[in-house]
Amino acid sequence: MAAFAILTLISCNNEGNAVNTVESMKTPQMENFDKAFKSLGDPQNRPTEEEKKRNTSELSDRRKALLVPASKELILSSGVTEAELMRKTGGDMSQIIVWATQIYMKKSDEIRKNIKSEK
Amino acid sequence: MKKVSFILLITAGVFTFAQSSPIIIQNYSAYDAAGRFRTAPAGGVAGPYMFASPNAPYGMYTVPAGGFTQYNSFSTTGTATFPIVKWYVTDYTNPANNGSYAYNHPFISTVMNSANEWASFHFVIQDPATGASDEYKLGDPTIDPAFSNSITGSISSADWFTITTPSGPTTYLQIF
Repeated sequence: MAAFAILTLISCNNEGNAVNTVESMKTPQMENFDKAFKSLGDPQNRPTEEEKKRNTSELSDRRKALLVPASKELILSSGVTEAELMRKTGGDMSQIIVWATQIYMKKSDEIRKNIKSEK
Repeated sequence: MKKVSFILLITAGVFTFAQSSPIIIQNYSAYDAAGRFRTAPAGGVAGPYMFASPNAPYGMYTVPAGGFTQYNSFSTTGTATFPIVKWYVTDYTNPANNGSYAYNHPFISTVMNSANEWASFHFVIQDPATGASDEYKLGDPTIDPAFSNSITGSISSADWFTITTPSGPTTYLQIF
């Protein structure tokens, strides 16, 4: 009986370690959002010489476009309809990316809170 | 005339950067990024600037490998995932302001929130296994020309950019 209890405890502990990280609890849409941002680091997606010469820190339209599909997906996954998305952003890439970023951060905070309350 | 242009300058300043904006920091690399995270007046004009205190348990401001966080303004950084509980202010234009302030000190919310923008992160990334490292002076070159907004290193790369909407800019600090 004691051995069984110890085994149970160990298995629960291991489960906790494996499951309770923000990384492992991200939704597929959040993971795709990460992938899109990470892709800005791929050699072909680094700023071109021309983009580097612009006297602004605003992300170029070419690189913004790389973030839009995953951003849209993330917004829609939060229960917003396509029509609502278009009405609120007018299809503007910047507004779509910033909105999705806020959803991503909010969801991450919720995940962090859940992890804390489970501990 | 001098007085008038001074007043105009001040007014322009207030209208240009009256509102603090968010920054999103994401470290997608496999290594911690540690260094000096700075805020400064827009356009690199003279005025107060400040550095972030180390976030516990680190000895220097650090964005750990795989970590991400958001700061909505300088005066709320103490409650973020990687908390900045103190700001170290330097002000050559008014040395009486020099010193360290708690993030929620009224000086940060009433003065610094409108006087500064997110400026730069001077940091090092090191692979503890091989010792290979990259040093970055990443930031807004219009604030300090010694900083660049996109840099590719030997074991990593990094970007500093804004995405601007009608409600203002959001700054992104990305390490790959």
